[in-house]
Amino acid sequence: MPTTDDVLGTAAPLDLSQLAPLPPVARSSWFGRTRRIGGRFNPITVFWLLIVAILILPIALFLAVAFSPRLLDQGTQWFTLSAFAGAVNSDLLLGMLHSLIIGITTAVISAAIGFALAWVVLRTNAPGRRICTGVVFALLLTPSYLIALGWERLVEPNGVLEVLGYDATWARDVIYGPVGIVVVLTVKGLPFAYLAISNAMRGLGHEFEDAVRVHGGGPIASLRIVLALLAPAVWSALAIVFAESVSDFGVASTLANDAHFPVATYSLYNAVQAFPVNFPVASAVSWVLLVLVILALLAQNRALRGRSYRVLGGRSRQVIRVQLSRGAKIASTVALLVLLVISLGVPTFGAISASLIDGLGSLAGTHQWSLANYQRVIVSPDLSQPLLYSAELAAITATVTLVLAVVCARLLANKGGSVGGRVLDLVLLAAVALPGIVFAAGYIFAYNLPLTNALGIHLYGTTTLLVLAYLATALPSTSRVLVGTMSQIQESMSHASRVHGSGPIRSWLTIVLPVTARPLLSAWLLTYTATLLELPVSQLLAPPGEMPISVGITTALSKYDYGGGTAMEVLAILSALAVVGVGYLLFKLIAPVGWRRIGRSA
Amino acid sequence: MTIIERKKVDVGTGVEPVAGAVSAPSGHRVRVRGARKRYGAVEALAGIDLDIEVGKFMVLLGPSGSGKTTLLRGIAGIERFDAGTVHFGDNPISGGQKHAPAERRDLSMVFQDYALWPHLTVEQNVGYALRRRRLDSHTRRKLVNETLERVGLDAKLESYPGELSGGQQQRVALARALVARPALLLFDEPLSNLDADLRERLRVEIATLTRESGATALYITHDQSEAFALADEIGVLRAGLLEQRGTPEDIFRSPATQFVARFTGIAGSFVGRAVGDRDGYFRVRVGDHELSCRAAAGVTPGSLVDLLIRPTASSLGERLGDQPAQIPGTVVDIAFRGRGYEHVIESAYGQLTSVFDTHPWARGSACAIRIDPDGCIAYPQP
Repeated sequence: MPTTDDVLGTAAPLDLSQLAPLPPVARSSWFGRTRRIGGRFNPITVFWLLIVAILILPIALFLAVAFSPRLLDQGTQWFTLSAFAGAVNSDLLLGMLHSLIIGITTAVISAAIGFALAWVVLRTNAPGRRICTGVVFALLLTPSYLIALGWERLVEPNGVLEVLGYDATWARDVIYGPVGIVVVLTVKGLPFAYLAISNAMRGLGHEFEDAVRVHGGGPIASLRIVLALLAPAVWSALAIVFAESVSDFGVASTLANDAHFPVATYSLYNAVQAFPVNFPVASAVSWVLLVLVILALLAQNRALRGRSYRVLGGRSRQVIRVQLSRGAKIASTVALLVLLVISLGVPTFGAISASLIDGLGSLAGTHQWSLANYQRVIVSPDLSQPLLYSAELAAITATVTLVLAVVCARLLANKGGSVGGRVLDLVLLAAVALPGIVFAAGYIFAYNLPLTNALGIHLYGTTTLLVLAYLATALPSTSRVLVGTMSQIQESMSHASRVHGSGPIRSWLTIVLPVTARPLLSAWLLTYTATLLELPVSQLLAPPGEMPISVGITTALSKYDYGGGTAMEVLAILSALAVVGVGYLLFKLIAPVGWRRIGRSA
Repeated sequence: MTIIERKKVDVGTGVEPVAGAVSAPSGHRVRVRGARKRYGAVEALAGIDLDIEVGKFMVLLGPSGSGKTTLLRGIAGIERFDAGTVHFGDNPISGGQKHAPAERRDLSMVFQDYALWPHLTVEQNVGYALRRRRLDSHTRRKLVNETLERVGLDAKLESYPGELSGGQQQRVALARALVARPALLLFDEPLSNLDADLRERLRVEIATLTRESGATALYITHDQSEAFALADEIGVLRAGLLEQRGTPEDIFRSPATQFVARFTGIAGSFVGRAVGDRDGYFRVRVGDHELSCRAAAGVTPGSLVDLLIRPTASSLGERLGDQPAQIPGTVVDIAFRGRGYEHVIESAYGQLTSVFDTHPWARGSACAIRIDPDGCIAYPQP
């Protein structure tokens, strides 16, 4: 406790005469440096134009064509539902039904495993719980098609297991079908379920369970209370995983396609890739996908309506971890190991082993273990060029996305909630729910219209359009990631900087940037990694003569060059991990100490 | 005095101020005219005029939503008024289509939540405010050290804000505000997040250091005791309007309205009927009793009035038969306050709290409330 002397100070007086005067400011210049309202070029206008061009217009036009083909020169009728009839009268209906069943199954299983995993990690002393967060983030960054391809390489005819002398027929029968698809999509949905539930569980103090116990409830009653309190998170997990599963294209274009198990996203891809292209039907399928996602979100909303779940507060008590018995520890460790093997182990082993087997996929010749596939990838421009091309585009996309996402997040975090902020919120929410394949189809449609060409916009078939589409798919999620960070910045920090003499730019650079540096870096790396390995947009919008890495991998695999394809896959992931590692290392080495302190736990 | 002239005084006198000495006033003269601000349907400021003379310590006192923060932020340049003008001295700062940004106003501010930058050390936080002075690093460091010594934190130069207590953080914020010797110091409820003991210590520190600096100061609070202790002048705000302005003594002794009287502290109130003047005081009949008081504007004989009683105007005595100038009551609660006891008294006309006596009265005991007419003010009933 400081004494009065401490407070008032006994030090020598300040020599205020040493202060230099402010830079000379003539009276007249007070207004010379003031801001005029209106009549100035506003950069926010450019921002909105960009949002309209890359997010709103392509999707709106594409979705409109399902109802009004004539509006955009795709038919003769101003209003018709024939596109929807076309969608439900064909194989598309089966695809949609499959997507619905797969989506529900995956959501339920992912939420259940995610809850159990969060409980084990946060509420018990299970050994190995610390690696779970790392595994979850590895899964979050791994595209679904890579997980699917890993499984495929293992169990396919003449695949790794058969090369190793094992009969993989039974495994193939299981994996090449709905079970395999559910397994892969569950693995891919698990991070979303885990993060949604664990974040809520982390904020749930132990007092609720204590209250149950002191009022006579046992462990089961206690768990039921926790489940009820975590209902918003569980519903969120269900909705997110369902939406992710029905809109997934990676598994649809690999495992589901190879298993001849049609799902909606691949039906949409076929509709857009077919000749002649049937945009109205593709648009109708997109509507169905969109409605499925919206229904999931509405169900979540309805389930929670009118109920208050505000459990996070300054009075929350620290959670006490359950001390597991020896048997329980063994059981939890085995369960975590099984999860690790299924989610990451098998696909990783499948990809790495396949990349090390010479001539895998071919019936002819012996299958030797060697590094020949890697050598081919590195030497052959056909195989190495896609990685360099994607790395370049991913870096550009991540950088531009970060700039735009900061603006979006700032607008969304604005307490007052301006009209612009609310509109942006709605647009980004809709865009998050929109499957990547719908984005790609929308881009093909909007930038291929006669009207677009008449306006002098000739972007179709160019790398620029591909980057714009990457931007459009990355911006909603990156903005959402940064909203939390931007909301946490006390406005008074910037105000303090301004009233103590810094202009808006210096204020941003000296105060906001340092405080947000780590989340900004994470957002850049997340966007870079996701874009590097992105599939649906790359598949549909890759310009002639150029091949992004994801298309390069799937093309090599479609030509039965399993060794080359998986070697590219491994190298792509390694390069992404290297960029992530270098990014964080540079931050650690270069960033000032104060920057690195932010967000670090005590 | 313009900013340039003020700084010439700083640099040119060569007189080193001593601790506790008050510098010659050298701050902005602040003039606000017709300030209006609306947030949607809520009118935060309804056309306020405010003058603060050079070197004066003005406290704006008001409840939540009265507009005091909006007014302060408008003067700081953080917010823009919808209408009205702000002048510092003769310089127009804000008005019409023009608005000088905060960094050009030669002011500094102590924030309610401290607003320290977590990535900067204490030394860097305080030194940040000196950037606009363009000093060499030696001078800058010396000034920072001296200011931090002055607030008793010279041992915490290398600490980060997260490593300090709430009181220490607020002292860093105070040092940051003072170090560059701005012409205007703004305080946005700086003590509201601190415990009572620390609040009192920092209040003394703010009063001393601000007056030493010679800057004009504008301080907002909802705590009347803080306002009375700090201010040269107090402005009481209500619903976006300045209800009364004056010295602390004026505000306490002659509150212009019931709102001002209630907000600056009363023990309770009775309803009565005005009788008329007698012996230099106004007489008000409350039930069977007749009390002397001072009357606010608008009180006429025969009218119904609210009689507001300051805590300092009430005292306790034994009930001795019928005494028309004393109100009989019963003690319902008692609180020890160190120098004596405060009692809650229930009477036939209402309850009075904070009725002081050096001796405790037992709960339930009968008593008589004596009321000093100087601390008892009659207002016409609304």
